[in-house]
Amino acid sequence: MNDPETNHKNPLEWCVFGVSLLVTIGTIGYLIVGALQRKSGPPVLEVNLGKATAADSWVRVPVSVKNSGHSVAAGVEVQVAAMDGSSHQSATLKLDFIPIDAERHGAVLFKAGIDPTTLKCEVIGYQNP
Amino acid sequence: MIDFSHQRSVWESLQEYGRGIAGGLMFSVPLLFTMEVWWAGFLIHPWRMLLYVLVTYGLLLLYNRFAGLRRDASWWEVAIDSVEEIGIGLVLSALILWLTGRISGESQWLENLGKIVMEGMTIAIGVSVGTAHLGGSEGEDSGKSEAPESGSKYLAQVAVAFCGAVLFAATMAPTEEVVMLAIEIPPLRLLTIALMTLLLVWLILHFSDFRGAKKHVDAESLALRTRGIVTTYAVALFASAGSLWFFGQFDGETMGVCLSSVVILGFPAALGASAGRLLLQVS
Repeated sequence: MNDPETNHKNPLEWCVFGVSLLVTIGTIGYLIVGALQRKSGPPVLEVNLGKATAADSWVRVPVSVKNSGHSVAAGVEVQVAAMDGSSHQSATLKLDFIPIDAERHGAVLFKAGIDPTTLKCEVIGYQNP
Repeated sequence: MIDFSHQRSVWESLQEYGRGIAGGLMFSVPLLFTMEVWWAGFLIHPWRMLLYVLVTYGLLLLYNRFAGLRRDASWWEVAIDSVEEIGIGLVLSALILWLTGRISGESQWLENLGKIVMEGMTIAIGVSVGTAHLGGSEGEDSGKSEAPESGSKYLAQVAVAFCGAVLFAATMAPTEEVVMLAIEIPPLRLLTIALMTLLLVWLILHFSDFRGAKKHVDAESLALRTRGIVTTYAVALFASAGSLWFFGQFDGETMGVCLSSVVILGFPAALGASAGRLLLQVS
């Protein structure tokens, strides 16, 4: 069983090697493509609000932030404000990381009584990781 | 035509792959549950990840050739086995990350791939070590035991020490704690850490009579002992620096913090390098 002249790999070993080779080459290829497509530049953050829904004495407003820039944004802070009669309420959402071309979702809560048509949102800050 | 050193039945191969999978998961499970490694998947530039894959492949070639189960194998056979280990590492990584919800169809493909790669390389090293060390009956799979020339023996020991150092350092390099310690620890205490690390290496390689020490560690003279200790620590520092750089821990930091990080991570890396020389080699 241990003669180098007659030893050979069995079909299972060749299959595992074949799949591993494909996976490895594919991974290397995708990394090369990803590296060539990567450009330098700051994050570009776009925030959108979803439909406000009431729950008990709160109003929940979904928030999504997309990064269409060329760098990861860390510690992203989004401020959402709305009018509540003559006064206004504001809430802040913090997101740890938004990778390049990625979108992250969250929600802010307001006390019942806000006018959903007056909702406004903006990214007020982020960190370079 | 490639001459293979061994021939196994399909059942024996399945058992060997099982050992590899178990070893891969054992050595990498701390990393699979570490947030900083998931984040590294999208923070690290793809070129650096590609280099990480290539360096891991080189490490596997060295380990499999000099210390693993295939010391009597040709370089072609070692290369094939190393590709298998990388592939198994990537597949296992993808499976575990999918099961834990770290990758999904909703994420960008490069983000998913980055996480798979950063986790998969440590799993691949664990697969190689597990395959070599978790075997049951040795049978005909024990490889040759011809004593290599002293020059290649020294390089073989360096390679094994490097594998052990990387295994230990890679589990801690991505974490924020290393840089936090580097910022906070004063220089005198850092020097003490370095000296204690050297003492620890001496303790493991020469004083405590660990199994394998007499066989794998040159101790005939003070010069050889000193060479072994210094080389092991140097390898550990190199592995520490490499691991920290791969995980982006040097980015944006001052030279002082970087050096401090290397010394701090060099402590567990030296533990891996010295213990690795004794424990990661198939006797």
